[in-house]
Amino acid sequence: MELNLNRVDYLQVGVTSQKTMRLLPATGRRAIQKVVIADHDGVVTCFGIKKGEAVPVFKTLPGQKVSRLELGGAIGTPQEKIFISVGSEVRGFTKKGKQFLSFETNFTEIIRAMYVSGADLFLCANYIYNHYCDCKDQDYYLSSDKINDIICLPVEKVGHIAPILACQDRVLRVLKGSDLSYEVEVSGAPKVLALHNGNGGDSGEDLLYGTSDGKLGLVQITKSSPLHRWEISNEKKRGGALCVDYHDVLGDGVKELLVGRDDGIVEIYGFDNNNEPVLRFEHTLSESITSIQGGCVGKEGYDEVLTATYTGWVMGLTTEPIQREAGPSDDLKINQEMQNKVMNIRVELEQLQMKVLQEREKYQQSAQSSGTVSAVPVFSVNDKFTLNHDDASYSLTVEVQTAIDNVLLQSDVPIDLLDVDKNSAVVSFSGCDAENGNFLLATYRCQANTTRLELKIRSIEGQHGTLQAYITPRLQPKTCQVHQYQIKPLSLHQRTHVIDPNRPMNTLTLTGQFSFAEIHSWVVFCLPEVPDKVPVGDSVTFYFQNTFLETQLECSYKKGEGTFKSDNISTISILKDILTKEATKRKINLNISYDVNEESINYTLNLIHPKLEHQLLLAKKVQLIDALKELQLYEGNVDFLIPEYRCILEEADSLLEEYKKQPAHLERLYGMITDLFIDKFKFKGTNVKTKVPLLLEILDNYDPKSLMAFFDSA
Amino acid sequence: MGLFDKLAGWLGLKKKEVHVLCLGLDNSGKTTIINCLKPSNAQVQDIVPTIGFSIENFKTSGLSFTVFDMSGQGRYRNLWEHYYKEGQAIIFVIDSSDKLRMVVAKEELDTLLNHPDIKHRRIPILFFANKMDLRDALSSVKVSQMLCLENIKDKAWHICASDAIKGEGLQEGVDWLQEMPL
Repeated sequence: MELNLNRVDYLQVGVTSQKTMRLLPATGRRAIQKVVIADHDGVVTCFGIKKGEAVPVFKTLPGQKVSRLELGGAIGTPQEKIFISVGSEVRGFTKKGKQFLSFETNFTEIIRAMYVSGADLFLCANYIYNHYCDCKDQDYYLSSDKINDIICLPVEKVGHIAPILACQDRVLRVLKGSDLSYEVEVSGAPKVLALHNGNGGDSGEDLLYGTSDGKLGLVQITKSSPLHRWEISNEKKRGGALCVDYHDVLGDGVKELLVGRDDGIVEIYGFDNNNEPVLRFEHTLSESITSIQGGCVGKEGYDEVLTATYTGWVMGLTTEPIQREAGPSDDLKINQEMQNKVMNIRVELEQLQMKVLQEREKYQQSAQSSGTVSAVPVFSVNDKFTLNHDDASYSLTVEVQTAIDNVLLQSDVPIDLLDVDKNSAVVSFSGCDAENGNFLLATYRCQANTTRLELKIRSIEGQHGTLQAYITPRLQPKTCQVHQYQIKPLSLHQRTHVIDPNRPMNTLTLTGQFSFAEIHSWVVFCLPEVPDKVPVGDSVTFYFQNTFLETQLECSYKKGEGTFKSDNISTISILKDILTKEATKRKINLNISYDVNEESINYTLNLIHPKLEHQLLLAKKVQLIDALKELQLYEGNVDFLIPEYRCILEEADSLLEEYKKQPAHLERLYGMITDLFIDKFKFKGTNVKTKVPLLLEILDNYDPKSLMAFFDSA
Repeated sequence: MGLFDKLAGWLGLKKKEVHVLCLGLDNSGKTTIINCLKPSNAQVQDIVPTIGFSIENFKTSGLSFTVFDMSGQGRYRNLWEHYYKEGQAIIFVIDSSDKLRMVVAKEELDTLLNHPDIKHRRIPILFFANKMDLRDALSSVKVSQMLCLENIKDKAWHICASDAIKGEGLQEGVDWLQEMPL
């Protein structure tokens, strides 16, 4: 059954954080639900819809930014108490807007995540988890990486309190009291957690997670071990999941899964006979979706999917038909509601224009006088800089509460900017002087009403520096905010849980007079996805995988000693250079020893081989396309061609597209092989830079055997 | 009509009576719609397929309607034309979730419009795209496209999406019908 949903805009509030909008349970006979939403201005708004207009129930005074909003209540009663987390404080409101709770926690940081279950309150700051019961401290846990979300399995079903933390290091941590019960490894950094079916499924132990790289999965949290049920991979390269909910939108008696993503996509998944999810509906909004809920808001009897976006728009996707009446007249009749809306906005706009004009004149006058200072308007920017596993590139997304005018990118490392299909912005590259350390200057001019910009950046392993983005929104007076992003030396490495121990490994060992915190800060400097905070305990091991070549890296270190193992000698070489530099900066004497495994060179070359061969073949095929097409045009048919060429002609479009997508792929691979070659001999103490042209010649007539022979002999 | 009746008519005390034909395929919701338009104390609870036809009365602010609620079943559809002469307005009901029989509805509508008793009279036709509460229902615009309503040039017509069980959309349709010169 296909699903038609129509978009309705209800109300705009301030900028919202993740999970800050909920629907109050319906009361009485009339089934229309009220919406409660909290924003960065600290205002909690509760409203209902009457005849298409938002009618406020209550609105609190502005204050600090609200980071979470949850509903709660005694177990077994309707969950209609509203809890918000503001700074390090939790406040509770009744559904009428009366404040009944103000609980100052002893957190030094602001609360990031919150979950309410009866009298139990679960709070998380960056790394700290705390459990309160009736506002009394119960349990405490310090996580080793940032906590993104928290949830607790339904107590009435599982019989004990089982909080689960979603942590940035791709792990769900299941706690028991103040201790870690066990860890569940997931394939991406989990961003949001929800109980399956809204109640944890039949056993109450089913947990749904959504990751920042857009995957969704269901895992059963039993007492002793996790049980993975299914995972939806993210083939279409959609944004990260920010919010999920369950609601029966199709009306078939089975609850569907609603997902809101950070690139504005709303998805509805149904469940087939095997309880596997199937995509049923999708809709694209232009801003990231921070909260999603299913329910009935606009008109009774019509279910809808209510979403709140980053900029504070509350929108519904309703099953109610919009165009109800039609007649013989050619132009569509605008209904009364719409006419009223247009009228109201017109009047409001006129008044505002007058007011702004007056104020602007006043401002101009006072700006002339000496001794006054022009204040800069503050606007919030929601940015995300993440590594994509599939194509070894970084994607930078910038979202502003108002429309963006332009974004200037400046980089002091050589990077490539790739095309993003979704982007409607116009790019212009300015010539820049690489000698002054300025490798890139690009301006993205956005078209009207773009609040979100997505960019793709390809970095080179080994070159590190900063990327700066100057963001100018369409605001008066025009101002600009600068955001900086670090491109780390080993920028293409991604954290994993396990590595293959049977590969030939090169080892780099460091010893010297350095503290645990110092070596940790060096590792943070070198590698992405490592928490800034020094890990608990006196030693730590991290595993990484190169997203481009799939080589591995194992870092284990403690006070005074560090061991780095990798099957790629270039990785070791980069680490050695950077670590020596860092240590010299702090005037620390390092003893560096390394153990090069000769086998590893051939192993890495074997890893590169299929990619290189694919690229070469692709380039060769693409070269032939034009000529073959011309032949096809002259001869009318291609039956005389050999099957190989016919095959190329058939796949011409997809080949061209792939070729266009990976323009620098071949050069990148050549670069990596050259680095590998130089690094191999560097560890032996010889400089082979003069032999590089010879190597390039061999690569041009690529043959794996002769390449390996060259590596061995030279 | 006596003098008293005329006087009452001018003063608006007595409502003008209109004969309306309610047509449509079986199971499209004709009887439910008529039932929903009646005052609440006259409504019946359970509705069964109509046999032949039935006559119903209801009043709105300006008019007093007498509706011939025809059965939509195939074997009774030939009864329709016997009442065309009396009809001053037509309510045509379509099940907007029944995509399969939309062509049948169109065929019936075409025969109706080409009937000698209907063809040259400028009688208003009100369409109800009924069962709009169902998830796979077509929108009223889509229904009007599938029935090619834009080809009706010499008659006033109007299409309303309706949910006859809850009574949504019916009032808008009847309001339009009242404004028509009958």
